[in-house]
Amino acid sequence: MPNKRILAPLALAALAALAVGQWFIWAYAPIEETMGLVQKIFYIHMPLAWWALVSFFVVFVASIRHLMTRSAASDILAGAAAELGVLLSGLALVSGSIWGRAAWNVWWTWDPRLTTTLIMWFVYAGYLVLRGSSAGGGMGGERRAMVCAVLGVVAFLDVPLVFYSARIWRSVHPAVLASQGGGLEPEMWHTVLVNLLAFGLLWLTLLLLRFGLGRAEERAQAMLQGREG
Amino acid sequence: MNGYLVAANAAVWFALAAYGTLLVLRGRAVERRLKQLEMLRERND
Repeated sequence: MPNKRILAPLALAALAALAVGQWFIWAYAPIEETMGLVQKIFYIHMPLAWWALVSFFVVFVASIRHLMTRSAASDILAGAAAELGVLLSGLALVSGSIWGRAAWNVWWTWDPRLTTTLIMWFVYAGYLVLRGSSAGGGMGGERRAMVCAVLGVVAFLDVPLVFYSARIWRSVHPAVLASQGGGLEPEMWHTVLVNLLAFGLLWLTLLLLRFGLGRAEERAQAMLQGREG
Repeated sequence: MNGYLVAANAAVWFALAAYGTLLVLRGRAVERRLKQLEMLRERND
């Protein structure tokens, strides 16, 4: 892996930060009066959703760069970020659904925030399927990368909708960042911020790991084709 | 301990750990393949 020297300390820092984040969740943050312990799901749910949106922004930027420069690295970075974004947004949907069952007594409701997030998840899952299509003898590498880059740009249209959905439409989903203080006590805000940072370090570690893997796979593929050709 | 809280934490941490482990294992496999290909290329040159 090309990033080995950076990855090991970064992974250790991420694990340490996540451990600190857990201490903040379980020992520092007060138990919310109305919901009780279930509210603590929020401290992992929000960072997952936040970094999923950041992942899709990376897909958007890397896709534009690929369209402008035809750089293979941008294509690989877009794929790595999309994979991570689908995982994180999927986990945000699952943790949110469990929270919804405890708070609203339903696993799912067609609320604007939930619906736009689900659409976003399906769009990027489709993007990943398209990326994998060349493996089965479908589109060639160059053409596949171009089509994926276009989809990576277009798919981003849904991301601002997800972010602003709870403010634009009547939504039962809390818009914590929209309201001043979000109804959270200072200790709760500290816990949110520490966990956002901790998940950010984990996100960066996983993104670099996936990007390095993509580069190595591309190199192996090029060597195989060179030997066969 | 609240069952919903345990379920959400278990799902999230298990999935993240599984993904991280998968990436590391795939990385090692690709590294091995790259070394083999380089050895083959050197032998052919």
